[in-house]
Amino acid sequence: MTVLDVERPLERGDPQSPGANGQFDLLEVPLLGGFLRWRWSRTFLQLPVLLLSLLMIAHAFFGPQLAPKNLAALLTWVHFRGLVVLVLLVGGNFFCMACPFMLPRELARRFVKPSWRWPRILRNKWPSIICLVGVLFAYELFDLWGSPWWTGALIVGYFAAAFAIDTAFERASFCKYVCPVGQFNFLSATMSPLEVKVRQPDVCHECTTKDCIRGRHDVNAPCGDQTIILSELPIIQRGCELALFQPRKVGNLDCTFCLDCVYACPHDNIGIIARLPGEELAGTGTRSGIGNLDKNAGWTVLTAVFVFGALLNAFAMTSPVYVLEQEISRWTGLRVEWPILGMLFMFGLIIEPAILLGTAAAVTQYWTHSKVTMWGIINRFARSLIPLGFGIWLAHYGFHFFTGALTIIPVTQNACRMAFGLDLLGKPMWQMGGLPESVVYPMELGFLGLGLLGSLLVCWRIASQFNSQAPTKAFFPWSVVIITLFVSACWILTQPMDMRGTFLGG
Amino acid sequence: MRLSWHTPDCLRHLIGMAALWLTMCSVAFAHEGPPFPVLMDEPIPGYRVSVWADPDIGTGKFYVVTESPNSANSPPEPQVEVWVEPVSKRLPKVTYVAHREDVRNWMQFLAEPEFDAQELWNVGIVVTAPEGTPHELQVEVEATPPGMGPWDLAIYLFPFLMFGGLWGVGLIRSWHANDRSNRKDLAAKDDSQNNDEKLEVESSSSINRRVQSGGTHSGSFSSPAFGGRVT
Ligand code: SF4
Ligand code: SF4
Repeated sequence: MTVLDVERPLERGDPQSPGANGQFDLLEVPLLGGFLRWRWSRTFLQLPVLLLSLLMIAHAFFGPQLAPKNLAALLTWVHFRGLVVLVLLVGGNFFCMACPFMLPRELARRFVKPSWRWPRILRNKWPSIICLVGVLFAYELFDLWGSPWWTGALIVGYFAAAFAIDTAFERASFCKYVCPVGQFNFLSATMSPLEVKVRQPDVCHECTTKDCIRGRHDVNAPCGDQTIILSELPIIQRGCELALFQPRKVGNLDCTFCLDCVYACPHDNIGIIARLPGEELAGTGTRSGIGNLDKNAGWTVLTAVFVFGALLNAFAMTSPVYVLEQEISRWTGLRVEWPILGMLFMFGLIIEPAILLGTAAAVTQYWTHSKVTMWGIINRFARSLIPLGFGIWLAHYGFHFFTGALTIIPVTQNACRMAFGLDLLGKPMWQMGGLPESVVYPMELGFLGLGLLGSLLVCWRIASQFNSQAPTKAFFPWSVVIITLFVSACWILTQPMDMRGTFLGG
Repeated sequence: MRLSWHTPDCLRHLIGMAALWLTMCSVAFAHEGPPFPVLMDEPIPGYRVSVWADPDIGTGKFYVVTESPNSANSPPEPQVEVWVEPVSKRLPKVTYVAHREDVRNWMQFLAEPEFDAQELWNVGIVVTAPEGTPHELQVEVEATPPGMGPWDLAIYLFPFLMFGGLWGVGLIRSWHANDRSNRKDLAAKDDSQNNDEKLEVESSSSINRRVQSGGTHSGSFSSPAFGGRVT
């Protein structure tokens, strides 16, 4: 048998093995690094989350329907969301790594090989944009924060959608093109301090197999006497299912931290490496698996939904939004909620971004005498809003998490009492809450302030790349947009909160 | 020393600051903040009553949730009143009507009693079913000052300022370092390429290559798994 193009995995401690190049690499941390490098670490993390999800589904349908007493509502809207943004802030996209929605499809793929490719026309961010807007809209329309039953239905719907799409279509189609949580995580992860990336670029230059993207093939598979081509051998470790080719992967966009590339690379040349949060946002050029962000309208619209959706979602938990809805109802005579909510969404996610981004782009174009189209300018600068958008999500979700973190204790005690008729975990300690508001409000301001700083810095960097002669002219209009959004977020922060915002994780 | 995220010292300082800050958080933990449950699933004839209280000095908030005893169906809408009086009895009892709130999935009432000082208060929740007799539940709460003072703000914003400073300096220095090395690269290239427009384009694309992945691999290759070329 002759096998073409085969490279054997390097052993740890091999002189070629990287790791001592001065960068902090999570995979080199004793114990934790070893655990993450273990082939089944992802499954190991997914299993408890899957069990927890099943428990939440059961409690959603059969437990108390008062949201503050229900595990599904509380864990989803207070703990899960808060932990996701905090882990993204201090680490990376570890939620996608531990995502339980992937386990059923992994199981199914052992029996059924998906046979279809994701339709070419949908290989972009538009399906996920529609899903993200849909989830935000349903959240307001059905008061998901206050409805355990609908929360349970949403979780079941997620499992069903992920399962159906990924058993029908090849690769990680659900994660890359559909999942709204995934897109949220991808954009937020641009602000994370860790990234899955190549340790030593030179090693990739010498690499002939590119297993990180193609997958590692079973060179011991029986194949008779004839010469065989490596790519025709069975795959024993898949490569990146999200089409991110490590040597040219840029940043955290589209990366689920699944670590398939780490397990596949025969040179042990991929790590989870520290970097400066937000630095990738100023980069231009082509990114593997994504293309050129400067020419990608889908990513720009997704970014706008991420940033303006953060404001809309935070605004919706304050009392003034109810006054506004009643006023709209009075003016229009409408008595049903969805068209009124539709108007608010239309304003918040279409009209407001169009006015702000369009004006900034027009002013930039006029002042810098640029030949770049307005849409091109928006594509270029919209990324600078991501740090502020992430800051708003952090302030919002962090508020619910920090003020309600300990509520999980009495709710679990109560669930146990209701399930078994006994106080197995003790009497529910309903007085347990979280940090006081006097601590959490400054933290919210701090998150917003960091977001503002990051946005302004990235904006300045993009402006200096856009017009190296007079960056101020390109920077000024966008800094006005950023500061306007920051002031709006601070204003929302000071509004009286509706009850949903205070103890229901709205 | 180039300040960067890769520098262990920088990480150590950030971790140290975070630890200090968490210590301060635990010292400041107090019985204030968002509404907390003061009664949960208290049975009275025809109802189960739960109450969340936010007894801020000034106007406090009491959320009263009434459910049917068996959770099966929604009970008839009761009248709900909340009264307050200082435990010291220095003021007379004042009663407030709780108004039904527009909540989709359960029945909830809000009362907004006034508290004039930080002290213990007796609070009574009176639930009256239609054609029923009033039933009263009583709790004791401490009214607390709302919001934050300037010192809270200063203390808790401090770590953010420190972190923001380090992060900002790190980003700027990293970008400057990239610019410098790009200029060196460009100087080594053909001088004829050195007009302004070319400089702009080149610098951004090589920044991209350098900053983002460390990858300098060029070209694309074909992979059947991706149905064609991988870029
Ligand atoms: S990361 Fe990819 S290209 Fe680089 S050495 Fe590993 S398999 Fe080869
Ligand atoms: S295989 Fe792809 S998605 Fe998974 S960690 Fe590697 S680059 Fe990220």
